[in-house]
Amino acid sequence: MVEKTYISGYCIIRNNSVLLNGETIFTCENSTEYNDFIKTAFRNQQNPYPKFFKMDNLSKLAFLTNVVMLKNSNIKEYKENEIAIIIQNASSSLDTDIDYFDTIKDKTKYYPNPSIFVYTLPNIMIGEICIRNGFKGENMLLISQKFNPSLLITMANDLLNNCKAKCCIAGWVEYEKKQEDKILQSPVYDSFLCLIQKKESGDTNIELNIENINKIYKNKA
Amino acid sequence: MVDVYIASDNIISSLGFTSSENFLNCKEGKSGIMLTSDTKLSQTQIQASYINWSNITDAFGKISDNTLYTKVEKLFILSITDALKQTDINISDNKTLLILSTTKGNIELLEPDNNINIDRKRLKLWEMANLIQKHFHLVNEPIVVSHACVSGLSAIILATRLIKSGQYDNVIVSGGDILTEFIISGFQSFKAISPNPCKPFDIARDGITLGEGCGTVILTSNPALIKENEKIKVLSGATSNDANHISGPSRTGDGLFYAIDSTLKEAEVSNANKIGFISAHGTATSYNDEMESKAFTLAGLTEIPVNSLKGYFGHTLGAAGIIESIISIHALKNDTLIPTMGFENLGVTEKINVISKVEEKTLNTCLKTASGFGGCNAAVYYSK
Repeated sequence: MVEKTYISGYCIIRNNSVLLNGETIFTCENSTEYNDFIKTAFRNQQNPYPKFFKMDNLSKLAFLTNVVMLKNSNIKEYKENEIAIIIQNASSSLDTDIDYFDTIKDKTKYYPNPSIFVYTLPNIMIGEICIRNGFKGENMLLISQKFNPSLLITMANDLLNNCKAKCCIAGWVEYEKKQEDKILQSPVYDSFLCLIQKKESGDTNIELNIENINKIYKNKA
Repeated sequence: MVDVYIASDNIISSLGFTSSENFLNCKEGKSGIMLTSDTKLSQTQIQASYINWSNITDAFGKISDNTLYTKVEKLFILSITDALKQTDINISDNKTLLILSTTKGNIELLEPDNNINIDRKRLKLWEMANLIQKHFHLVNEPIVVSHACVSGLSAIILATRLIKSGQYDNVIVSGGDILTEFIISGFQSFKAISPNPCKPFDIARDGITLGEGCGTVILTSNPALIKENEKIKVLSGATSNDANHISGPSRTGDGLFYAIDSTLKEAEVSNANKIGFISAHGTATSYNDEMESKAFTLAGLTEIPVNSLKGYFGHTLGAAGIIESIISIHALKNDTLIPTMGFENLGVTEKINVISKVEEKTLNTCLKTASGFGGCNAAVYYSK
């Protein structure tokens, strides 16, 4: 019989707001550009890390979501190789892919930049979280059209029930570039990360199932 | 407990369009790496492992319309088609899943002059995957793993876990990436590309050689589909992170060690000396090969014969874990150790046992590893 697993905390970042366990903890006016919003929201966390400001848009989003999500968690109880991270998104690293392509498309202004190129892989956002926190457990980056909670639950439970991890940071971190020539004028970003473990620990203790994860992802809990 | 078997496989690379053709070429010491001066790919001449694209166009023309598909989509379709031909698996039911692994998929579509008739939506990896799914009339929504250079092994690990959990009976795992100016210029900007064909684990190694290709393995829980003397199982697998640097590997090898350790524990390997051989990542960068030698030492694997296949195929990115797994599986079936092309003199700190010549030897198991940007590592354990 498969043991129950629990969501012990979660963070959502969307529409210029940061929510921890369903409560808005930071918000900017709708007119605020993503870049200003995400930097201000990060400074608001009083958790200085200069490398944050060098990250691309997608990594900043995942990184901040994780900082807020783990704020009151028991993550320190776990060893470095017991902490897993599974992230899904729809657009991979296409935002930075386009920025990188801009550095090579014009042969008269050809300046491929390694510090941009490295962010043309979506799993770099997982790497950034691991580096900051010293997490060395299981990693997986998956691409799908929409958030796929069913797959996420299967994968997280599989790790926890087969001793591959003792807790799992899991969710959906999507950033799609603003397209000047399209109807879509502002970037579409949407981030949701939760901490899954067998223990009933933390602020929320929501049993992990599709209905519950959908509720909290849509913030209708 | 459900066992996971390899039902069939295919490799499309510079060394051929089937697994057996590729394996034979490796065994005979042929490399697909050559010097090219295609300015669409690189401003300067580079060594790389290229597919013969006019042969792909001919082969694909027999299946479908060449103008409707991108290069990497053609590779996926041709490779999966060949793998499916070799097995009686029924793929039309809801117990079959498609998992694709790629780092950059259709990134060539960013160039406005390329594939002008093809919808730019297919830059989205899930759109590309849906197209492949529709081609084969598969029922389930496909999954895409895009996890740098461990994508291929991660996809095999995910497939194995989903079969063991009982959710699926069969998973088609296909990994592909093509050479583009995007990828080549990026690795050039890192000064990571060797001016010569790469020399994994060698004292004179000075960087990677890039390659392109596609590999497909069809995994199944049904042993009846496989001939008795051809059964290869995926016993276990794991992933990990170095938590060290986004573009450089760990200095200690502890991240890769965790993935190997977790993989061998899952397979209940009590005596590491029973491992037939290791197929390492072996990119031939100074730091990667050094890191791997340390990880193998931490895991007590210094005596085990180890190869890198990058000297044959180059580094095929999202395809590498799958192509190199298939060569390793065929090495097991043929009881043959495949040497490390380009290797002459050991150039890593730890004394690992790099395979330098073809050797016939009874082999029962092999460990495949990979590591990549973002500090990611993966390991998979195969057995007869």
